[in-house]
Amino acid sequence: MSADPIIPDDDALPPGLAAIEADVIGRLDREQGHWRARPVALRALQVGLPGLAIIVMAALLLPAGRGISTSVVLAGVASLLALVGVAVAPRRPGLGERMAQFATAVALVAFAVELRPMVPGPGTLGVGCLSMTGIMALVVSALTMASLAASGLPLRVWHRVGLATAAVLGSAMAVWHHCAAETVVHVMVGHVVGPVLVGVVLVVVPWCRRRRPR
Amino acid sequence: MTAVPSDEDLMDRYCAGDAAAFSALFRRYVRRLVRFVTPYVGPAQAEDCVQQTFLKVHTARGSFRVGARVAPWLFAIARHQALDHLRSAPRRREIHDGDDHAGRVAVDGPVRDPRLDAAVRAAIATLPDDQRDVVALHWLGGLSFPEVAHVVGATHEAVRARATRAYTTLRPRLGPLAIELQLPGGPA
Repeated sequence: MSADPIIPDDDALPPGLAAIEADVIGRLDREQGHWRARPVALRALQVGLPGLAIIVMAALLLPAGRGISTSVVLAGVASLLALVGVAVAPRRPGLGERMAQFATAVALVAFAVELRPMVPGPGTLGVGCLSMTGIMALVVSALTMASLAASGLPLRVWHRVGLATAAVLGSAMAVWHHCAAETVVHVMVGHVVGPVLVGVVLVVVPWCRRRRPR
Repeated sequence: MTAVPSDEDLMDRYCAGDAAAFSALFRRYVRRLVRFVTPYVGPAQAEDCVQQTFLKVHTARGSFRVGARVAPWLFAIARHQALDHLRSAPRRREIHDGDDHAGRVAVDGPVRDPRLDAAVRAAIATLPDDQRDVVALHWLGGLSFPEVAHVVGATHEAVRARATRAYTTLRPRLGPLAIELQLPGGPA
């Protein structure tokens, strides 16, 4: 019946139960079979594109000659972890979720560290930094969502959170390094609270669209 | 020697689109699920009920939490499906009490003889709903008490107490069959 060692050949099912099994397998093939049928190179490209986008935008924004702060390093680690988690999700959903959970914890530490050097005083509102973070996060998020949608993976909450973490922290990493402002309002609005809200929107909006009755 | 994958590993692979993993999971549980829903919906409807259960499992596989146990999740869906089945046809409970065994699927389990099966179903049907849930999940479904507690949303202690009362009630009703069918004695 099957060459798979986990299914004994002598484990014959009565016709009624075999029909149920075949029905679900047919659904699985229709929903996710096209992803597995794609060449490995194409699948790798799809899941690698978001990572490439983060590297390109970081290279464009990182100025030369500046030391790298702890928050930037943590943001980079969180983004990379989350991105790898999202990338492995079509093959290992559980592992992807665990990586997303860990990446989110690292991301929270990164945000906390970014708050640390705040100083009182006049400064810009941080709209520029927020806009840059948001736009780049949307680009990365769209690319990642496209690759996940192509996989047919039934997205779970932590997959969405991982996706948002990768996109927002990857963008924030570049912006934080580019911007030396340390005033309270600028850091709060442009570097921390704003990007967190962007992440929340990236998690919640696709979820609401999925639940909207047709 | 190939290690036997856990339910959770199979569920992960199933969610990733692996049909072989779904088959393995399906074959591990389908007979237990048929046994479990039979006291609720009757043997003639059990197969339909299990089919609906697996379709719901398939639809809801994206909501399966990483780290959660598969068995209580499956049985919780089956239990909801069986109760929905009863609600959608209020008279089905009386109907299945009198139906025959034509068309029923053959399942392994504590009760393989149709005559004994009918006696067990009749005895379980007389239990209060909360005790019937526990007996169906523990004895027919093969779940542990912690797993039963998870499915019915009660504490471990409450489930053990219900099981004790249920098995105490069932033992005289089944008479000699209780020994033949290896009716659990309940918690020690």
